Amino acid sequence: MYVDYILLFSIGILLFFVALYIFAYFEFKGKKDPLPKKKYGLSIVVPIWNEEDTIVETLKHLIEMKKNYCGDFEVIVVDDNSTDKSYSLATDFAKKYGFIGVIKKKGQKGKSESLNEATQIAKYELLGCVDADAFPEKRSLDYILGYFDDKSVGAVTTKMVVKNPKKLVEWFQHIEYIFSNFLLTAYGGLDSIYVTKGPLSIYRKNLLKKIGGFYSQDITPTEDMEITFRIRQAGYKIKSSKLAKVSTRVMPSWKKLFWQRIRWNRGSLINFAKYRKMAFDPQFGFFSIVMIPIVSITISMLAVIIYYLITNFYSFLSNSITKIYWYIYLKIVPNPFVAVQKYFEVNPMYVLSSLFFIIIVAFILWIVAYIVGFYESKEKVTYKHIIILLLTPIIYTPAQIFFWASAIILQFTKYKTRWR
Amino acid sequence: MDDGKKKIFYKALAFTFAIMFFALLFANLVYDWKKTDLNDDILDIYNKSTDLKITMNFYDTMIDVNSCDLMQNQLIGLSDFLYGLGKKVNLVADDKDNLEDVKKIQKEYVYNNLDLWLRLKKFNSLCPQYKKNYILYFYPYNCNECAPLETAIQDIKDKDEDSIWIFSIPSEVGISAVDNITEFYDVNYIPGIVINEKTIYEKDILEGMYKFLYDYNTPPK
Repeated sequence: MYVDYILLFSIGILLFFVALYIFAYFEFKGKKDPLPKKKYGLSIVVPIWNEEDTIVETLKHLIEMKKNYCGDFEVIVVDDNSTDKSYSLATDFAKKYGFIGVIKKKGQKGKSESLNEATQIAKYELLGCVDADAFPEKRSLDYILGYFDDKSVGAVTTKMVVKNPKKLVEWFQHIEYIFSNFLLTAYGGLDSIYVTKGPLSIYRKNLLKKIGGFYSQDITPTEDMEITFRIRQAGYKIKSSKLAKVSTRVMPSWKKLFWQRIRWNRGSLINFAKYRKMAFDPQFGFFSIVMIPIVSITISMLAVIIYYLITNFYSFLSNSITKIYWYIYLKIVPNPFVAVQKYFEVNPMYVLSSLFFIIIVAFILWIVAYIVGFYESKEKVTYKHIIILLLTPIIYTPAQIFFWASAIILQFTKYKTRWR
Repeated sequence: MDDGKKKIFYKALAFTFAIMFFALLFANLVYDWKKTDLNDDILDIYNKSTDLKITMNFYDTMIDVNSCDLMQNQLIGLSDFLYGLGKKVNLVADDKDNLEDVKKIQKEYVYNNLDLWLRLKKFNSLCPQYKKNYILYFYPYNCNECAPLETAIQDIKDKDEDSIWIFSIPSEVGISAVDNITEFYDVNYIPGIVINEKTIYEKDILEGMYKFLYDYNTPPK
């Protein structure tokens, strides 16, 4: 029974979290991206490793970006010894467009080293990082660069949407990204962004050099999150653009998604543990006083929720499956009215009654968050979106909890995972 | 932390506390209501059980005079009464705070069932012109397999309420009479169903139930 009360407390914390985001969103949603007061020179780095399927399209998008930008602009493609045609495809572009350069690394060292190598040879003051499977909108720079007029801004990140989702797993990620766009606006308003996203983020080059560049995978599995903490630690702010948007490819299978989320979730565990000293330090503002403690507590709460789900939800699920089996075996048509009536009759739990009330409130907040997410992502709501949205709590949320549980176990058992 | 963010923080905090407060208030109301309801149920079950015993004693006095018409009038509704009592007993059994009361009530309920079933058997032999169908349903608690069986029984009951008597008997309450009866009817698997002296083993349980009911008496209209 005590677990029930811990669960209730955990849900209270999560409710506070969601309420905080929604209030923050409505407080800051009207803020516009500032227009740049000067022309910034920009070096875009595209680290690649066996990206022949997407690199051409990514470079085409960057060419469109260049056409819409009147400042200095260069693209540095860093090939990490691809074994496919990625290098030659990028080289073809480099021959045709003078602002595109391609370098080939000598050893396979991963994404962080590719970014660091490009930082050393980049000509301009701002350094943009674009994943090889990301396609930035052509006017994105107009919305991003104005933030750098403020000298205290160290990096700017953007909203993401999924490019042409087809499979069910891609649709789930699409819906997830739409939700994350709502979160990004809320985080931005609260000055609490803790990850500069890989598909498109722009940094001050000198700042990157000053803080030692991106850390390798031996130190952190998520270099984009880790560097955000260090930028904040160096006293700089992280901003998010309201209108800049980047489309990206997502994991096309559950297996690949699993390993990606293991990396992300372990990255979160490692980074929050590594920078725990920033918590409650007033010099880092709201981020350290509220966000780091709450995110850390939420990660702990996940353990409780996972335990509860395993002991309650899955036993409920297995009971339901057994019942369905027996109905089929005995060729009897179930009576749903009796089942629903019985469910309410035989669950006189105190906690369950409280949860019932909270779940109604959480459901309303969840709907509000998604409506806002669609608005922020400039996505039209289709019947497919609605179906996937309804399936999310049944399929995708349990999957995410499973990913978290696996990440926690793998982290404690020190199992090694790599980016590729 | 600037004032704007402080304001949002306190707003969210107030909102969360308000929701948690109302959730707990709501839970308290539900809990109190269920508790009161449960206590009423327990009292009600004891009263009904006593009521049933008196009715059955009265019935016994009539068996002596062998008045089938009168007996039948007394018997109508008795099975239903017991079936409804069984549902309440199951509800009370789900409340883990009243374990001692629950055990007593369950035993009382099983005795009532067996008592009435024996009387019914006697009535059927004495008054064959008013013969009644009966179903003895033995079930364990926390049983997934029971849901479809209960649906089937309910289905039969809804179709022909008066001529079928249903005795739902929990098998795990420590009454040796139950073990003896299940052994006698060769009910080697619980949940098990005995209809009119015959134990059902078929996969197609609903069909089997109707078969034994029809063999025994006229089918329901």
